Formats: sequence, C-alpha cells, structure tokens
Amino acid sequence: MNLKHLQHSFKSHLFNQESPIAEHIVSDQLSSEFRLGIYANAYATRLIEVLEGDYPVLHSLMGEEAFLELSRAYIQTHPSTYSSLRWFGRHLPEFLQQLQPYKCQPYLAELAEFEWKLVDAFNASDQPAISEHDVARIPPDKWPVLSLEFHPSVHGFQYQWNVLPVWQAHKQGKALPPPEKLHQHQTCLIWRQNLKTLFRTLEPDETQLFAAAQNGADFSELCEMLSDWIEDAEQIPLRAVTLLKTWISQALVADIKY
Amino acid sequence: MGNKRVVEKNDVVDSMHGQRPGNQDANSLKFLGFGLGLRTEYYDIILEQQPKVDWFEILTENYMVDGGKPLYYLDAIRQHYPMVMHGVSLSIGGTDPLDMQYLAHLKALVQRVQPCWISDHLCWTGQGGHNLHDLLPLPYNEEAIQHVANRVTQVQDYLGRQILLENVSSYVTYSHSDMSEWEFYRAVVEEADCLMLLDINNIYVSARNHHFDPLDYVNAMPKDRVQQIHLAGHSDHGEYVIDTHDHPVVDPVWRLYEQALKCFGPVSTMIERDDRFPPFEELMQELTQARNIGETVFGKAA
Repeated sequence: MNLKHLQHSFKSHLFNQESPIAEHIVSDQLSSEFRLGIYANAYATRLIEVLEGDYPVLHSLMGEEAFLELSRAYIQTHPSTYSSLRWFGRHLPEFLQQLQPYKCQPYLAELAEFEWKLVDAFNASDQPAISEHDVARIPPDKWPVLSLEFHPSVHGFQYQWNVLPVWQAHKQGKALPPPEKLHQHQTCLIWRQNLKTLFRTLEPDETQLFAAAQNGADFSELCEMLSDWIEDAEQIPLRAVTLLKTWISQALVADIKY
Repeated sequence: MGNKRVVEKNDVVDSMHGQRPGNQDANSLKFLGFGLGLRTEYYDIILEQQPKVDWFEILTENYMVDGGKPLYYLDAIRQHYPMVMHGVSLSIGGTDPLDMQYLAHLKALVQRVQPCWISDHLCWTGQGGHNLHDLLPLPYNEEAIQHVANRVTQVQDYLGRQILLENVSSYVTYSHSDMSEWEFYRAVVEEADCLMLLDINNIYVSARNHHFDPLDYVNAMPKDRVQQIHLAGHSDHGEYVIDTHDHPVVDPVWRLYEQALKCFGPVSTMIERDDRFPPFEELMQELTQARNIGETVFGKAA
C-alpha cells in the first residue's frame, strides 16, 4: 500500500469507519481498532466543537442530543475542504432547510442563518468606514446621483420567527422562549463596529431603502421610494438624510460614489 | 489597525531577513528565551499587563481571516513581543499537491507578522481535497522520507526560508514502518535541510503509547537542528495517553526536558495550552519552572 492509498484508507476510517486500514495497523495490548478509534473520535469531536462554537444558540435550542445528531449528519455530508475551520459550518443553514426532520422546523434554519451572519460579520475584512466629514465634502449638485458601498461586515437578515428574543435570552443566560412565528417578515442589520459584532432591527422604510442602496440605487431613487411611506414631500429628504447619517455613524458605509 | 507594519526597537527580525534556505548555519536563528502560545483567552491580560514573557507563538491559521478581532490583537501584541508562527495545515506529509493558496496566505501573514521563524508538523492533515484538521501519522519508511523531504524543499524555496518541523503525538504504528520514529524524523530533516521543533510532551506521549524509551528519542536528535521546544500537558488514560494540551506539564516531561537541554544546549522553549485554560498566572508559573530548569542546566546566563 503506497502513501496515497494509505492516507485515503485512513481518511475513510475517519469518515465512516469503513476501511481496510486496520489491517495495516499494529495491534498490541491495544487493538488496531481501538487505536484508530482515538483518531476517529478526535476527528468528530473537533468538528462538533466547531459547530457548537459557531451555533451556540441553535445548540442550546435543539438540546445536546439533537444537536449532536445534526452535527454527525452534517460532518458526513459536508466534510471540511478549507485549511481554516472558520468556513466549516457555512452550509449548516442550507442543510437545515433541505433535510428532514429539520426542514419541518423552519425556525432552526433561520436561527442558523442569523448565527452564521454573526460569524461572517466577526471575520469580515477591516475596510475603514467613511465619516460625516466625507459626506460634508459632497458637492450639493452630486447628491441625487450618490450611491453607497456598505462595509463588508454588513449583512441584512430577513426573518419570520422570534429569532432575536431567542438569541437574547441565550445571551442573558435565561430560559429560551419557544419558537413563535411573527405576524410578518422583519429585517435586521448585522455588522461590526469597533471590533464588536452588532445587530439592530429596521423599520419597514429603512428595510426597503437599505436593500435598494445595497443594490446600487442612488440617492434620488432612495428618496423616490420614500414617497411610498411619507405623504408630506418636504419630509422625504429629511428622512433620507437621517437614515444616511445613521448608517454613517454606525460605520455601515465603506464608500460613497458620485 | 489594518495592514500597518510592526517595527519595534526590540525586534529580533532583521537578523533573519532575506536568508535563503541552506544559506545559514542550521543553528543561526536566535535563542528567544521562554515563551507562551498566544491564545484568545489571554489577549486582554497580555495587552494590559505586558507580562514578562520573552516571546509568543501564534497559531497561523487563527489569523488567516480577512479582518476583525484576531488580526487587531495580533498586531497590537506583536508591537510588544517577538513572535514565531506555528501552523497546522501545511500537510507536509500529504499526498495531495501542496496547497499553493494556503502557502500564499502563509507568505502574506509572514510579511505582516515578521516572525522569527515558522513551523508546522511532520504529519499529514488532508487527503483528496478534504481537510481532516488533525495531525495524522506517517509511516516511517524511505518512501515517506523522500516524499516529505521533497515537499519541505518546495515549501522552503517558495517561502525563501527554512521551516521547523514538529514531531507529533501518535496512537498507531503502521505495519509499513521499518524504522523508529526518531530515525524517521532525523532522516527527514537532514534530507530536507530543515529545522526541528521538538515537542517533549509528544515524545513522552508517543513513548507511552508505543512502549519506547523517550531518552533514546532525545539522544538521537541532531542537536544543531533543534530550534524550538514545546512543553504541554496531556490526558493520561493509564494504558494510553492522549495529547490534549489541557493539563499542566507533568513531572516526567519536565525531567525529559532537563535531559533534552543537557543534550542540546539552550533552546527557545514554550508552554502550549489549548483547553481548560487556567488563570494566566498558572501559565507564568509553568514558564518559570521551565526557566528554572534552564538555569539549573546552564547557570543564570541561560
């Protein structure tokens, strides 16, 4: 057995314990199966710990046993392909959405998506955010065409279950409220400011404007959208500027183009 | 923050700059003294108290991220301490092609950190595009020696510097092996002309698991290649021992360390702790114990 076959066979043992590798391991007081089992256990344990670290609230909501079962299934389906474990858990929201029995409990995938976006925000690149001084330098005639580039840590998250109260209860060490469907979809923003990962919910008009701005809408288009929400035309630019100032003060905006 | 460069007055990096593999005596890298593995649990204590630690070893992969806290603390702590980099994903014994993307990332991080040296493990960590995130054992035979040595040469050429390879703990012996672990380790580093990061705890763990005398291992090391020493704790299950880094260093490992120093002379030494993190003072006490052993063996000058 050459080195390549040996390693393939060893990997198969780690994945599902179905492998002829034991024949090539010396047994003594400890059997070759027992010795290989040390590696198989360590492999699974390490990856389960990564999922527990990335999805602490999901872990808590599902309970020890169900989360373990989920983790084992996930490890089988999505073995790691990156040198950094930072990426290992990225398929879990989709996995929960697609697979029984999890897809019958849609709040699981939603909570997982929220937790994964927190991970993404935590690890996003260190692009600087623009300040109010940068905004002050925009010539008045350029305002209608200005468009925004959000910071790489900024993610919108749309949800229809009580994900945020569940997350907050876990954070505060309180008993988790049972999953509950909201009357309508809501959106929150997740981002990182001064090394802290933050989130906040959005008002309906801000939700629409944020999504449009993310897709490249310019300031005049954003103002036009506000007319759906605000009857008094004079109030529209005021609201638009207020939102923009909020986004800038919260370090959400990486660049302004005009 | 961001990409700012770290240049400090007590920087020990310049003597390392631009050296090519083979262009230096094997033992020309600095003796750094007594260090610790840098772990997130201690970031704030280190920044606030600036403890008397001679140097820190970082886990390379923890900083292969785009941004955020890890890189912020890395840069901030680097301003106060020399660093070395320790990787777990090179898979130098693997049979997949070398991961050039990983190596490029490693090279970029080396630029940022300006470490005194970089190390990884004498093992394989992936196969068929899968990363197994464990330090998996190689068979000890001529095929593996040539295979690993060729890859070390490629890596050293790419990085423009020698690397250190660390011995791993192991729990199996392949029937394909036809030499001892220490013969294999020595043959690889000599064939590849690289340096050694000798983990004294791993020698002890493997000696217990495979029933050999750890002193035979230590005595067989080519002493001019031993650049760094790791000390750590493990989990003792009686019939076997697992390398968990979640306990203090045990007495037999301290004694083996003392023997190793007698054999090699002063070697940069550090404590690794990766789980069940104690208060920082406890790690400092272990470091003092290592320092005391150094002073016992070499006198105060060490």
